[in-house]
Amino acid sequence: MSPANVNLTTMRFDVVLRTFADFFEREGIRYAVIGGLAMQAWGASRFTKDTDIVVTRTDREAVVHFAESLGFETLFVGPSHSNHLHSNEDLGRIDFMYVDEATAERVFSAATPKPIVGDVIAPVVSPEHLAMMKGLAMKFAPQRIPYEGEDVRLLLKLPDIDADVVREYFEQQGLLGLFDAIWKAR
Amino acid sequence: MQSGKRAEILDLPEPTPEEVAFLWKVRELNRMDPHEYLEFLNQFSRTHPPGRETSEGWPPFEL
Repeated sequence: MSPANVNLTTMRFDVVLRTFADFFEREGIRYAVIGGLAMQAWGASRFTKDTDIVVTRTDREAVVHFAESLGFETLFVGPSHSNHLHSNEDLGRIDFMYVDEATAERVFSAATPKPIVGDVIAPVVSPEHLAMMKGLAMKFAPQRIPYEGEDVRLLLKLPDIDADVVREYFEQQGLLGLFDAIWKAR
Repeated sequence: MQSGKRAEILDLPEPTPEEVAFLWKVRELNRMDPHEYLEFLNQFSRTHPPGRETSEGWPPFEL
């Protein structure tokens, strides 16, 4: 694994993303952008305080090690997420979601390279998977419904989104009522 | 100008009038191109640095 070679005085959202993207490509790690940056890639600019990326769970150790090599403090590492914060405000915060192999295959196969910030182009999860992730977030943290629901509403307005698979996931999670409410609000 | 309540959807629990105005600037600019969005995010992150909350206890996303 190569150590990071970054200029900490100039690192910002685009440099953070590019630094990790270069690392993933160098190490052959599959990844995709999720969260607020993914929303922007799908046409809805929104506030976000961090960079969110999904990788396969088997790559967790390498990812955490690389983040720490950049000077990020690891706030939490669990089976499905890790959180990292840098004291340099230009690096800010990066969070990772870890998924099993089967989920990773489906998520990465459906991801699309898209412009995100600045000149950075990176794979972005499909709008269907992004909406599902937001559904899970709303289930776990209902206080997030106002803005996660707004994001799902915007995603469901995309012309080519397969709303049926999103609805099916929400139903599996016991969120059919929420889906229907969002659907009506499109 | 929109009400403060509307701005809650964007992670601003107690938005100031300036933040609400910023919110509407964002919506007016939707969709921003990647360079505009980068400039916007970097400006936003200066005034709203990330916190230390974690994802502990969050369930895995599985398909």
